[in-house]
Amino acid sequence: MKLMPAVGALGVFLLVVGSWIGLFVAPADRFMGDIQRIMYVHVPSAWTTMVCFTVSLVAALGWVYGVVRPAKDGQRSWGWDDALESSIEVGVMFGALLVMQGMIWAKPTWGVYWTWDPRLTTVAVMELMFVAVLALRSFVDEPVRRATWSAVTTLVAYVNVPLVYFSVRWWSSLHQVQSTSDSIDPEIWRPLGINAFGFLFVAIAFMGLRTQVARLTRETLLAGDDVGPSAGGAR
Amino acid sequence: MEPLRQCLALAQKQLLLQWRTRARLGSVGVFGVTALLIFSFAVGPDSTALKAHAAGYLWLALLLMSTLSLQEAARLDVQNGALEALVLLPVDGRAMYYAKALVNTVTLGALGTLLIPVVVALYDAPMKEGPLLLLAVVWLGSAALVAPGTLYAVLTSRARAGDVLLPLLLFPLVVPALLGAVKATEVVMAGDPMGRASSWIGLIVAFDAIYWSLCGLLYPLLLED
Amino acid sequence: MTGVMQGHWDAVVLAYSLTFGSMGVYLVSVLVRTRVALAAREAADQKEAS
Repeated sequence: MKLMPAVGALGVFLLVVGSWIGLFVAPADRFMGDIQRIMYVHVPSAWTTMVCFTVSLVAALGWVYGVVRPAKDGQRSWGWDDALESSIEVGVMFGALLVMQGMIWAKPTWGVYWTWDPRLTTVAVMELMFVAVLALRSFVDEPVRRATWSAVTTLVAYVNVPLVYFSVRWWSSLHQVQSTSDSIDPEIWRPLGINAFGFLFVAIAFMGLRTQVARLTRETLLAGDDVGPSAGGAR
Repeated sequence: MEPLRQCLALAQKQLLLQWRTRARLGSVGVFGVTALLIFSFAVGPDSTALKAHAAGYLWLALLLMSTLSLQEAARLDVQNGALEALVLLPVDGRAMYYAKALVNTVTLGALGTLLIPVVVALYDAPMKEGPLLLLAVVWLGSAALVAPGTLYAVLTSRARAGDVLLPLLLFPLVVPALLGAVKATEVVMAGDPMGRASSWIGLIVAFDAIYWSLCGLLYPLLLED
Repeated sequence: MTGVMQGHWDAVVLAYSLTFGSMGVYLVSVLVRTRVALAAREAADQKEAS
């Protein structure tokens, strides 16, 4: 696993460059002033969170496919479960950052830490749904069961995200007008783009390293049970 | 229509089982009434505020009751090894899910129906659009809570710390249904001159449609191990 | 919003340090867990071999 540290180092390099430009080179926003510089980490965090959870969806679908159509030799494709575990954890980490950055930004701008803005509320609900999946994983010891159950809950949680967004938008539109961003200055795009790739590479590195932990732990567990990987889950 | 016949037979069996343990369900109902009473203490004796938020309190009480009644139903299954025994029979997985979900809806809907007069009495809640529409909202909303709830209760009842996990998984998930149900109930109680009730009821129906089909599809996966 | 909001560098600094600090802490936690998992794996392998 020499690839992941390299990807991570590239990500860190991009983050340093992008944040430097964002903090010291790009001009302050005409309306919001310097506080708007939070955007250069806030928006990439949001994108990265969505990427991570989408990876979890793909991993969940991969595992479910293996359950519906088992391989001929009875081998489980454990890679999907390892990827699921790592992508949800990394996604939850970036999601928590996202919510906190949003609150830090909201306080001076809107005067409150929290508003019932659809995006904010959706992210909070999404975060809780995936934290619940992680909690479920920690309370189920049998690997096959844990994999199937977390795949099912991940699918349901992912499907729910757009539903939450639209229902909250509908619900809060009766109380307040949703804040819309002003026209985007081209100067903003450079640090934003660099940081977006920085976050993406760092997230990929995190997921790669975390997948390795998941794989090692699961292999040890299966070996300790004196059950080969192939026999896990045979009824 | 073999799966349908199986589903109805299973639902009948489950309903009988629920009836035999009705004392437990009675306690869940009393718990709901207690919750409603406690909510009013949290706000204080401000009758206008209580009246304005009656719809929200009704649904909070129903949400809290749903975890108890769902857990109770799943526990009955796991306790006697009934689930394991059923898996050995040639019963369609989806039939099993819909039987459970149907019975859970009947249970929660009945509990919700019992709470309506309590809400009216405690909070002096009006019913401008008539009790029938309110009943429809309560039953549709109960079905919405139950659809993912049945799936998750089966899963958490077999995990460690399942009673903590069920609300953890279920509550964020049912946010859209809860929003729709509270808003629809509010509108039905306070009167609906602008015809907004139908769109909120539409949201609950959409949630019902999505989760009753999705969870039915996913349930057989849980029986694989 | 009217007029330019002045200052607020404290919020910016807080947001950036929180973000990159958390990433660092997470990285350390993953590395530590990798070590622990590797050690456990090796111990299991040795037990199996003996």
